[in-house]
Amino acid sequence: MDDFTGFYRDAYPAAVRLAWLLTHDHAAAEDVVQDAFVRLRPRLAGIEQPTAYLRAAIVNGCRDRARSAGRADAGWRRMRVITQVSSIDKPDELLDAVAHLPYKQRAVVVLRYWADLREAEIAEIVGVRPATVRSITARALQRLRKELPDDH
Amino acid sequence: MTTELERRLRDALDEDAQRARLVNPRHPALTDVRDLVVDRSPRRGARLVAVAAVIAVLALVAAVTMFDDDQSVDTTPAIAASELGTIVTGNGCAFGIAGEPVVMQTDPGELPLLPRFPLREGEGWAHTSVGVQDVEVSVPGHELADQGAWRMEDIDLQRGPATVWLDGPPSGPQDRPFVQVRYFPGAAAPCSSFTVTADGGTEAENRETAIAFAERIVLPAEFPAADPHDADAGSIAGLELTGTRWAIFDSSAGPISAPMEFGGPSVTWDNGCAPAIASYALDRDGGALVLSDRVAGQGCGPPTTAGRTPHYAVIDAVMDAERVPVRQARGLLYLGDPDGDFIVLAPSAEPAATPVTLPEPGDQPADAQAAEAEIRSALLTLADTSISAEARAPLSERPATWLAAAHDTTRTQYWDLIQTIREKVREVVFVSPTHAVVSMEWIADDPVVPRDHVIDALLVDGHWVMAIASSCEGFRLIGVECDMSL
Repeated sequence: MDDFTGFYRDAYPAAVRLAWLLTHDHAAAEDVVQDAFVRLRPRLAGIEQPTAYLRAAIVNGCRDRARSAGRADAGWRRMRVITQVSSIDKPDELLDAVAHLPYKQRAVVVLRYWADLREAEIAEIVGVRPATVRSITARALQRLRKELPDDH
Repeated sequence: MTTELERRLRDALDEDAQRARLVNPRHPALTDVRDLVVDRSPRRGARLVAVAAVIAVLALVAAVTMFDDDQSVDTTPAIAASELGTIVTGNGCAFGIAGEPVVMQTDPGELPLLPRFPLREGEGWAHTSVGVQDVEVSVPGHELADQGAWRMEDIDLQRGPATVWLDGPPSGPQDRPFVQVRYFPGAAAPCSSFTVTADGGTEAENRETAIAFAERIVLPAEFPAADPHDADAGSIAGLELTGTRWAIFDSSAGPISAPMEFGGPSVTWDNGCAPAIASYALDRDGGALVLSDRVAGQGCGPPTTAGRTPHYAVIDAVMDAERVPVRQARGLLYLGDPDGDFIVLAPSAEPAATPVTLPEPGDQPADAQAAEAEIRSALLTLADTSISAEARAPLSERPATWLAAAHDTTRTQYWDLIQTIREKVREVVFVSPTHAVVSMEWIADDPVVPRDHVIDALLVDGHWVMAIASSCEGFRLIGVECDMSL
């Protein structure tokens, strides 16, 4: 088993889960992860932290998909994705609120509260300063509290 | 200190992550890995065929742009102030392409490996096709770390010295080797460097194309100094906005980068904080854009609090008027008061918007006026959520199917938003005595709701009703599927 195969086996489940949390679309999550691994493979030997590279590729890939869904004529496509989440996967209202966060806030929330990454790690992935990660997190939590006023 | 909300977030995300679809989470088969690298899934393959068709069309446009009849490369000189061709806008640095218009995609779409490198904060990016070659532009340029693996060649672009990087590793679509022109002048200003990457041809062809494209890049600091007084109010006589996409690149408060799109009866734009939409009409005689039913999204607060984007307040000031003065000069569009708040638009390099178009009229009903009145009434009544669904259902081609779907919509999270939608019938075109095509607007409290719609109305049993296909298309937008067995 070569290095890439081993890394793939180890990293694949978490990679798909990260992409799923950012897209809430099974097919999109698989595609983004596949693209990330394909991109990583020729560079694996020269990358010190392949997991960090993989996470960044996934976050960027999911963001690009979110961007492409953000055009006016696709606006309701985004809503449809969220609807599918609501009707099929039945997340609670908190997940629904997370799904409505702007992409960068959602990514930071997922990387912080699911992947449990440090601010510096998140900053590198998202492409901002660590202090900005703090402010993005604060804005996200503020928005979530606003949308969930009853018991938060 | 962890708050209750943070604790709940961790729990909810952990639980949600378990819903991810893992075919074989513990031990993906080795063949899966090989397939992953060597072969693409049939689903993606099929999509790539579709994308290839789109790219082929773009390629035709770009090829015409880049090459003349004898196939030599167009080495259009670097920008002169009046020659700005098209501008690419997005979340990052805007940039222009001088000379003839070029269609650039800022959406990676179905091309799985674009952009080649993860985009960084503030980076502008777009790609296009030139024949069989792909060209990717990035502003500021990519920082490549593994310099040792490349062969480098110094060249002199018309704007200054640059470097051509050759023998790069395979990358981009189909893992093709690429050639990259890198212009890094060392300026501290943001958006002051770029890279142009070309692949798909021989190394010589890629080099030639990358250099030719690099000569046409217009960095934000090189954008023309726009003066709205250069344009006169009578200059929009021949202006056609429907189906055009523009880049707002300058304003009375300084440079801006934002898109504006005229898709049909509605215009959409972004003020840098939130999208907005309005219905518009162009008063060519009066030299004004007449706006109505403006709706702005919930963004990040007042634009002035957005930190680095205070200029976007100008967009709001201009687009908040009912009549926005419009002037045109040398391909640029000026909206607003030349002596007050104004914005300047250049044609966007992104693909043009798809305008709402209606078919040519066919045979008319015996009493077209009465038929149109009945259609307008039927469609507006069918959309009126203050009336019970049961009472409205007979105005559908398939009442039972429509009724079931209408009930389903009340259980979606968008029901509140749906109830805010006001509908307008703009135009009715009879394509036969029993079939009309209708242009409608949906005006909602959120710009995410697309405004322009084309609906079919049919004459069934002596009454005009809405075609079930049109209804189901609308239901599908919010995830409600019609049960055609009813």
